Amino acid sequence: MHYFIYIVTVGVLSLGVVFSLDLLVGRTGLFSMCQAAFFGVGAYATALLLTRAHLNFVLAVLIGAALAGLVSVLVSVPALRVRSDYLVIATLGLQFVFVNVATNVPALGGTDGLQGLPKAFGISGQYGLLIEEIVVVSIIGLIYYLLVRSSVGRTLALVRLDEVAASALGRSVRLTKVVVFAIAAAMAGMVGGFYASFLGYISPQYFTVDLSLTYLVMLVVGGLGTLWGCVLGVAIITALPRVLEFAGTGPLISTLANVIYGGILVVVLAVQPAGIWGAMRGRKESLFDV
Amino acid sequence: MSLAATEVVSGLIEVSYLGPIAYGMSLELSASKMFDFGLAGIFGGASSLVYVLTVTLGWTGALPIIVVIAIAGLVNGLLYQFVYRRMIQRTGSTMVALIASIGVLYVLAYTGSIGLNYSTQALSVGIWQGSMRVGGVSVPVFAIAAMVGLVIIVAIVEAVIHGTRYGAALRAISDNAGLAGVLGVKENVIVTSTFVLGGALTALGAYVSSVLSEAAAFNGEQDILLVTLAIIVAGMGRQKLSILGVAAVAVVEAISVLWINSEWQITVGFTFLVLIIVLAPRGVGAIFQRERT
Repeated sequence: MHYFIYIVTVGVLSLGVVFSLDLLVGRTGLFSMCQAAFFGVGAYATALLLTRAHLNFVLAVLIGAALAGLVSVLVSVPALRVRSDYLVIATLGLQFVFVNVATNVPALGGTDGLQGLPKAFGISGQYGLLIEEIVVVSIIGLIYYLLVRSSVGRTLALVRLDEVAASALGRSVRLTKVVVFAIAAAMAGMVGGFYASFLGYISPQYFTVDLSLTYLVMLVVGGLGTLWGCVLGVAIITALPRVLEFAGTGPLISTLANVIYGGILVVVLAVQPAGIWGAMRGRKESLFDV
Repeated sequence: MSLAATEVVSGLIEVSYLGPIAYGMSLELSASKMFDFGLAGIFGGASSLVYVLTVTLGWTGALPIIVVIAIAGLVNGLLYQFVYRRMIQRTGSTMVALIASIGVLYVLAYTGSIGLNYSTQALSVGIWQGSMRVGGVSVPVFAIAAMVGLVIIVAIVEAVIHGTRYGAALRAISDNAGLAGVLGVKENVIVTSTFVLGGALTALGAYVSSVLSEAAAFNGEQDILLVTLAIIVAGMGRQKLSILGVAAVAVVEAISVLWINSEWQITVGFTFLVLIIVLAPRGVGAIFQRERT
């Protein structure tokens, strides 16, 4: 497969996960550090259902997405009982646990992972796969757009801005948070299913905490709470390692990329919390500013 | 029995390097109400720097560790002053600062990995290298020395907290930062000082860890979760208990090897974390305190 097409396809799939993350972080004010784990749950579940149970691809992806949503509930219900910081800590813990489980459960293939996964809908050409992922992520984007434009989106904004007011208006803050967490996890899990099929193999190293941080950086850099901010952030951060590669950094690429991701996260949150899209629209303050 | 004793001791040895981090992080937490995951980056960066100074540049004696501790304290103080504090002020919450601290973790740990040539590296401490038998179990002399050092440091800091005007100001901020500010306490200076101390203690922990096992840039990532778990177990704002929390968590994790494969330690630790959040979100320390009162 042509390298450039491969990178663009992975970038498109990343956009699907970043949409799901924005639903949590940008729209509801809940930080998750395990979106890569939900992405992985969907990928592994789809891979297992395709190779062991020989299920239909669409059904396998939907079950994978539902499983990711269910896993998120297991974490969010206890973590959301207390202060919001605990959610970040619990999700970070879940991220490590996911990689730990994927590495040590023999049925999941250990460090070698699962191989020989069939292509979705029998599409195998590189341009065909790219178009397939664009269609899938467009559907995810449409779900995201419709959700934030609906009464659900207004409830999410209310919960983010003032939980007391949300409760006073009869909204169940905790239930809203748990449900949006599950929806976001299911969206990431669904994209994970297509990712597994696109690659044809998966292993724990594709779903580490580094990837969760990368998604968060994509979102923050582009601009929280905006659809086009997500697109811009994914485009910039997907292109960054390629730029480093072009600059001839050799074996330092992944290390430098992670140093830069961490640095960008700190600098953008400190200096331009509305992200690049926010800056282009003349906004400086973030959705979290008081 | 002897296997269990060995595991308990190996868990307690972890206290010699996780204890300083837990104490420093707990101190920062009680003053700023922020979980500072950047300390995991300070841990990785300090491990790398101490390796570069001692092995690559050939520095000897106590100088390299003093330099590393000073730099770590300074860096963490500056991070609070110019990054975390502004975010907390702007958003009125510590969550954005917590996320930024994860960014700091990445910058420092990955930069540290360059200094360590992308792998773990052994570090020697000369005369402290041996081990001694305690109750039939072999314990590194350096671990015992580090534990004694930790007790002395904690005793000094506790004496400062409970016996000086600075300590009174720190306790006032921990209880009610707004009221302390009205009463003329310089919150910014006091909280920054806890971050300087937190960074310095983490660098000390990184040095001890580098000697007892190996200098590693990424050990801090999982260690910080263990330390966070210990702080939650102990209850926020209880610095001394946080060290006991580390001991409890490390021993439980070490003993679990007797029944569960060591590869599952992360999962065991995380399950413990979720249980604590569900059953005692204010920490086990708070339960005992409630019973006393």
